[in-house]
Amino acid sequence: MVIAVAGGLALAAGIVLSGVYNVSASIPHFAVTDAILRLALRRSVATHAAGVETPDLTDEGLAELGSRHFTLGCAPCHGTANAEPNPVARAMYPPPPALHHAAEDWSTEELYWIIANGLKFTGMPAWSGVGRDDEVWALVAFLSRLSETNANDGRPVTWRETPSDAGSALRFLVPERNSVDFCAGCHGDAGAKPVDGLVPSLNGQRRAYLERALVEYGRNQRQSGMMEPIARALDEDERQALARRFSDKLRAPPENGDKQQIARGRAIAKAGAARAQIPPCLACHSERSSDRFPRLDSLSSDYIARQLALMRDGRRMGTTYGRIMTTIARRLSQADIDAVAAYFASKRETPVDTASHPADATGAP
Amino acid sequence: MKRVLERCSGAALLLVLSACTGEQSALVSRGREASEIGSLFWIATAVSAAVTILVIIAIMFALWGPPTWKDLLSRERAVLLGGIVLPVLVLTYLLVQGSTLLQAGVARTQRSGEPSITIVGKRWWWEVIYHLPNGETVASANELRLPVGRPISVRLETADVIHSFWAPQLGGKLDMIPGRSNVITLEATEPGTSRGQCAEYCGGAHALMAFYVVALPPKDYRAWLSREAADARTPQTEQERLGERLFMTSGCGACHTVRGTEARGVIAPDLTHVGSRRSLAAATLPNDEEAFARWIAENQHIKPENLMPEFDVFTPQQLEALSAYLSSLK
Repeated sequence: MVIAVAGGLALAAGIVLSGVYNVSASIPHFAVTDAILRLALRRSVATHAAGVETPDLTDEGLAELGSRHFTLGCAPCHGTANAEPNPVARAMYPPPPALHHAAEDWSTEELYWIIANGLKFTGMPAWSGVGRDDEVWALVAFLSRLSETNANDGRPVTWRETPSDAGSALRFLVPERNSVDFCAGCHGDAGAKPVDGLVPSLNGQRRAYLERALVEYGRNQRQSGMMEPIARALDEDERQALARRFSDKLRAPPENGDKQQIARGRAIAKAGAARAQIPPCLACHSERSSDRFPRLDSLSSDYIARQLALMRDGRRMGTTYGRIMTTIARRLSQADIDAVAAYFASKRETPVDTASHPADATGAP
Repeated sequence: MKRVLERCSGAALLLVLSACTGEQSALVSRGREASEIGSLFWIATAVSAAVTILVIIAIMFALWGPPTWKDLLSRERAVLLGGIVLPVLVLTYLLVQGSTLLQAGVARTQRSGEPSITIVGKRWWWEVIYHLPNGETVASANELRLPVGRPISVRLETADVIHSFWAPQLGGKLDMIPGRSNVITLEATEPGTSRGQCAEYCGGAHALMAFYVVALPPKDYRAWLSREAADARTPQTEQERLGERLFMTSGCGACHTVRGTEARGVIAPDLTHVGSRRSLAAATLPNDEEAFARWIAENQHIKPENLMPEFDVFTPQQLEALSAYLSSLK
């Protein structure tokens, strides 16, 4: 018995240390190795995804946002219905699977877990936006819809047209130079709203703030698996040009919100709530303040509420500005958050001529 | 080994004695209430010492004394006298003495008719509100100024949790209880500065919740109070003006008030005359330009958990200008 065990161990050590096992990506695993690895992967994903809860994914905009990110960030390796994956990606082992039927093979919880965490030894990366579960769910929403349309043999509406070169070169999330249209695809343009509440409207936003946000994403100080790679590819001139173009655009029309909620939000925005140590929002987010602070009345209520929740949950601690707002966001109740979001989204008045604004000249932080 | 012990005990003794002098020593009194508490303390100490000695003598006689003494001590009368009558007399005396002391202050403020001062304990600083004879109020922070020789009634309140106000050289400590207004009388007997602090654990930065008491001759006090009641000084130099602009555009006014400007926040200390105070951040830092700059950019490092976020968003030049502006608010 002892001899058998010792012999087995020696054989295993011999195989490992001699280097006979071929790790090349050009030769497939033995069928048995492959089966064991696949089983281990399935079981691991199923076990780890056990605690995940799927949020409401019915929002069309969420799936649309996922679709756009898929085209830029996932399609180069996984391919789309219209485009084969990149030949380099096809030479990977294991090859990145086509995802037409991903939602049939995996539950939404499992898809979420895989996209958020990546898979060891497969080339599948973890989501680079730390703590941005909300973004991962956009991709899950897209993938689950993809299967539905395929199953019904309906139009594959959710496949975006792949940019002409996405399939032929490994080009992850690199925007076309200075392309306002590229940004507007998700962020919306004059007249068109952003694809989803996750995404801010940039029209009429303050220039210095837009530049700051791009710098923070590029330096991994502000977390977003969608924005970080894009912002990183921009140089200073491009950041300035984009910020200028968007700040000059007209803001979208105001939202109609619940009257009571708006009134509550207005009270907090103008006077704060001293008992809960909440300062008035407008003390910083006004036209007289530093242009590094964002203009809130050009944003959707959905976006404001989501960002406040992210700050409250400590997901925006990478920058001084984020930490300042985190202190305040933690004093807000969910009702306060919804109220101020509704107020600012309803407040949008006349388009503002940002170029002639005096605060831009102070050079305040 | 012995030498090490000696040194250690020497160091310990020094540490203990260092509390006997200095600006926060309870054994030095600069106020009428504190000196009365001081005499009560010494009387209580003397009586305790006398009682202790008496008990030791009685024990010694009971153990080794002549038979007549042993006999005397074992009688019921000795127990009645020494165990009941004596304690009742001594404790009653101390109780009366203490109660009189507590009441005396109230009567004195009623006679003097000086306007009162309200101090509101907040996490983790003191809001000090001076009531003027005409009914108006002047808000300041983290520093209590008193006119020498005038008993002042100080109302103690809290905006959040229980704090305790204690200025050892002026008087006893008194808790600040949510929903209540406790009144203490303070009368400074000589001009000068002493220090006090929160004496009830109130959370994170409790240890750094202190204040200064500055006693001034009545004439100086009145002059100071009228200056304190005035609006903030307008910035004079280019740097101060830049500092003011930064203050107004960076959101400082969301929490702080500088009277006479658009900064009207009500959450944090009033900064109208912050440059004239002895300290910053509730007696945590000295009051100078360097301290202002450090506080703005790294206050969580200096006073962890305090409720102000760090504004590490300024260039060194901007920080200098901002500090110059705040220092100029005399």
